[in-house]
Amino acid sequence: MGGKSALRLSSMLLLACAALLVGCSKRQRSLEVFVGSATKPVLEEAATLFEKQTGIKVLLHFGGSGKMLSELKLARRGDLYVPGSSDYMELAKRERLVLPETEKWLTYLVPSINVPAGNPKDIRSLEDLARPGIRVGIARPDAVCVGLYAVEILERAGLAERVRPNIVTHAESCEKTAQLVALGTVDAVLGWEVFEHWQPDKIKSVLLAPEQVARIGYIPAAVSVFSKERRLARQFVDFLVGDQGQALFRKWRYFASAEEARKLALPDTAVGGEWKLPPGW
Amino acid sequence: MRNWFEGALLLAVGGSVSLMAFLLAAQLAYTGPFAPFAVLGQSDVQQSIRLSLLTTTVASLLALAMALPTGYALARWEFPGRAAIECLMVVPAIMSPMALGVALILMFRSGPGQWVDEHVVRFVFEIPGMILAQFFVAFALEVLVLRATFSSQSPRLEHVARLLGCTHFQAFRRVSLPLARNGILAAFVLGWARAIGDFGATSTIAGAVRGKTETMPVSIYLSLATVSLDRAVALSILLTVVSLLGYLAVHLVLRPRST
Amino acid sequence: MIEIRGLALRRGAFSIDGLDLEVGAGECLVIVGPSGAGKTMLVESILGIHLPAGGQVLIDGQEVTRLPPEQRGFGYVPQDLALFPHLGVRDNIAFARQRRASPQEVDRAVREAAGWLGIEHLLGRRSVAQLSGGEKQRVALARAIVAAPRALFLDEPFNSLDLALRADLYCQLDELRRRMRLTTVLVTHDHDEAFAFGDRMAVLLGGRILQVGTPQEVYRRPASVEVARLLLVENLLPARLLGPSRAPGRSAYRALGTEIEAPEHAAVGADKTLWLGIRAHHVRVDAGTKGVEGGGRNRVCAKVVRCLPRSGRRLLEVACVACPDAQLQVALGDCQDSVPYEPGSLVTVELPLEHLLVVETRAEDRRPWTREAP
Repeated sequence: MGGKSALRLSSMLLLACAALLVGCSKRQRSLEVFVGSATKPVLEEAATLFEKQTGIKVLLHFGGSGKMLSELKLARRGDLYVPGSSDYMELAKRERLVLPETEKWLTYLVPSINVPAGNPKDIRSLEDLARPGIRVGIARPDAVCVGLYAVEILERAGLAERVRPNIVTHAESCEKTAQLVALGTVDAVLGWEVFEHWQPDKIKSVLLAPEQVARIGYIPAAVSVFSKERRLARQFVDFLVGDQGQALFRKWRYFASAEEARKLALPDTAVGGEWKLPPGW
Repeated sequence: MRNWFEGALLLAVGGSVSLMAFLLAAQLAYTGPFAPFAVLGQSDVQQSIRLSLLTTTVASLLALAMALPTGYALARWEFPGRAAIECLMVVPAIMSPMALGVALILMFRSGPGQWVDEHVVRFVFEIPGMILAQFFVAFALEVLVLRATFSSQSPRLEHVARLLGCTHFQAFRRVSLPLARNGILAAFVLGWARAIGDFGATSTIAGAVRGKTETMPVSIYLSLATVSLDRAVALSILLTVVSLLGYLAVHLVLRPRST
Repeated sequence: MIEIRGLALRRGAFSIDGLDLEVGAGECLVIVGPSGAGKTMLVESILGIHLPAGGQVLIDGQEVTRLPPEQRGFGYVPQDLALFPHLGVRDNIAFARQRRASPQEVDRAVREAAGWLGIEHLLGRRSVAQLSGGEKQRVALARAIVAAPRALFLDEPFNSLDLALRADLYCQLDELRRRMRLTTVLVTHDHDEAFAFGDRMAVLLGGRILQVGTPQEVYRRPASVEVARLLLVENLLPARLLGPSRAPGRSAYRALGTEIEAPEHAAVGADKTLWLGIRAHHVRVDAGTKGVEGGGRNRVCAKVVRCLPRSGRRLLEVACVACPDAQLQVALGDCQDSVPYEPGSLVTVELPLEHLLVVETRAEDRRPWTREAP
């Protein structure tokens, strides 16, 4: 008798919990955003601010841009996609996972050299990366945007052959690349200039010479085809490109416009676009 | 089925089997049954498999070599603080793999660790580092199993063996060790399985350099990172098959004995 | 041959303090004590399995207290036998010699031991798990013997065996012992075994040796009430010494509300607390009260409380009329089968002088007098 009634009681409780959960989720309107880690600090603040102002909850998924897109594709859900670089948005558009007409550009990224705080090996320029004994890290060029940019920069500067022996590792994601210098595991990486502002006490950026900046990256956002709240999603994107959103980007030292970004490069440096990885990398 | 208890057991077994079957079926349905074989033909995939198998087996064996005496000592000796030490041993198993990887990097970043990394063996971003990471996760599991195995043996068997003329080591070798055979097997298989699937710890300390430190789990991750989902799922099925074959190999070759 | 001096041991809640014991060469010492008295603990510390906290263990005058078990040359058959589950019968028996002698030598020794114990037919068995209790016992014994030990220690060896099998094994073990002139220490809670094997007997209780002597000595003259209780002296009556009696070698005691004559007890002062003990089957009983009225010695009047059936003889519980708190247990003889002994009926109880034991109270024996022997 004890066993049977216990079983009945627990199954009733389970059903009650399930009902409660379902009910709860319908009550508050929310957005689900898949974000490449490159904009983590800004998106977190923006989400909180947006929720305070509109009452719409923004659920953020962070991870590598490619992994985020995979999840979006596999699970067939999500309202917004904000990758860490433009090439992933191109891929998303090719795979028809986002609505191209909703794409807006949020901010701009400039590639640079990053070193551990204190710059122990006194790296001042791209050429210094070729010094014997220097340990350099880049992101996997075939999988991560900032890695591809790194290779392009090295090839264009003609330093690929000299720096390559010093490259001791490929990190598998953007944030892992930053982690390499934050932990001091390598002497330098080729990453984004904004890495320094993620962890100012651990990472320092050493700017490239303006002509060495191969291209300027930008961070786009677009509404996913699986979104059931397209209007709300657009609202959030507008928020991000609007004054409040841009103020947050500026606060975290991202570049708000192409012109600002070009200050570290040449006036005609390309923004975004694609580049093919040469064989052998 | 005579009563509700046996019915519940049946449900549990049936449920578990169904869940496992669904997992595999869902993957196969996505890629089709031939995709894993197609992917197996690629040389970088073969390299990745070879690397995974090599590092995992070496790491698990090394872990076993250390877990065996450790588990035995923990089971036989009584000393104050034994429970605390056991908890310490288990830490790598309960730590988040990523955290373990970071801890390993920090270990080699300064002090004696750095000296070893620079002058003795390079661990960071090298294969020894991968083996080390896998060693840690395998060891923690293996020591748990082996300690339980040796605890379940009556100490009297060793006492009698010693009174029949064996030194402590001989008693261990002739009595305790043979009796622990099944436990040793289980420990090794568990450690091996955990190590071959590890991603967080190995990728953090060894990076993800194609052809050098790219294990199967890293390949799967990178496929997801490039949104090559078919390849990711195919590799995942392949990893499952490879692990299964490894498990079967250990069991068929070293048949567990029923005592 | 084996000498233990001042042994002290502490494990968990249990302790032994200052224990002395001697085992002569070739003799069989039986250590008797109830479960929990520390017999296994004692044996295992002599064997070297547990290091004692103090005291010495000597073999032929040489101190071996710190020597590891494998160097002491003792054989051991523990209570649970501890047969090696991963080895067959032959390998179990041969274990001690296996790596040390030629295969022919090992084979010879195994066959010899198996022959002595009648288990040659088991040598081919691959697993010891399926053996019966008696067979396992013999394999364990054979294993211990093949090692040619200096002395053999057996811990409750016949515990789990039925009576018929026990009788068999008693004989075999005894014969073996004498043939090999093996010094043996046998630990048991069954005192029949003490009589069956023991050249000498030691009573162990609460971590202390209370008495050592031949089984007959201990049986006839228990050193204290505790020992008497252990040896199943069912009737223990508190008594007071009155003084010497008329006949030589006898004294008068006050017990059961009357004067009882019993053997003189040496080194006893007047008024010292004593106990008179007598076993149930030594007490004589007659229906009616004629025996007491006739003025017989050591006779009291009693009323039957109940009559309990036992295997073989009936057990009568009677209460003394003069002293109703004192109850006696009487084992009825076969010839009294026909007498009904109804509860409430009066009987005459006689305590024959020659079977009375005079037992002292030791300082530790302060337990209240109980009706039932332990």
